[in-house]
Amino acid sequence: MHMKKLDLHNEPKITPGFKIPEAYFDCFEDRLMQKLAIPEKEEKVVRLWQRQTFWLTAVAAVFSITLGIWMYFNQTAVENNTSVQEYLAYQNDITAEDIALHLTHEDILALETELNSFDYTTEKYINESLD
Amino acid sequence: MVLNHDDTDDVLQNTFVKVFKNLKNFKGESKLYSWIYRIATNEAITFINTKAKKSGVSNEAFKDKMINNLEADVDYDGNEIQLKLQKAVATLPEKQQLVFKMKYYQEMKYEEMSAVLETSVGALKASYFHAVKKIEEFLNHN
Repeated sequence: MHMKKLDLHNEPKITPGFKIPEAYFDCFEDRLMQKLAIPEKEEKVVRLWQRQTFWLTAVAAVFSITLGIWMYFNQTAVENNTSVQEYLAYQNDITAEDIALHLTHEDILALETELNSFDYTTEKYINESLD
Repeated sequence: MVLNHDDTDDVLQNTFVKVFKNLKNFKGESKLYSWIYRIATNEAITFINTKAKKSGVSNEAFKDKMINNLEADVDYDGNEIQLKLQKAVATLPEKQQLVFKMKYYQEMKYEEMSAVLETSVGALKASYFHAVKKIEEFLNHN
């Protein structure tokens, strides 16, 4: 006798057979909330500490950046003056006559005064040192 | 997938905890339903793997144990054919079990399954076809 071969899709649907315990979902939400509540409390403590550290770090960062910017511009100003002087002193294409053409009468008077006072000051220093 | 009420309860709790914690990361690229279902599926598989490892047995051995305990489980109310089908499904590879259960028991559309399992519809149809063949063979020989 041939047994009828089972054809899953031509037979009535076979359900899984599991049952849900009575009132399972009545307290499901409460149990889930308890599980979620515990890590949240720990997080609040950590957040407070992190906030303090965050502000301290932010203040230190702003101070460092401000100091850095100030030092950079200071350095750049000094470098600019130095680089201009070096350029004028060592640049072979520019002659003293070229520079003189660009000086005004007031510039020349100021230079003479400076050179005169320099000479006097230097002479005085040398004389005093040799004593 | 875990074939046991207490384990199912754990997996379900873990799933909703994960959903709650990661809801801000949900970008709406899939349906919320698919996203939650995917988390649940992954949690079930992780749970089985972790429990098998803790028991010091292979996943297959652990699943054999679970299916053998099913008949004695107070929360299992199945008759002979329902139990036989569960045993037949348990012989399938893990992913194929998922495909069969989602299609046969839950009557999900292939497009929905594709979103959950991140597998093409074609591959799912092929997997289901082979799953049904294996199960029918098991049921006809047992």
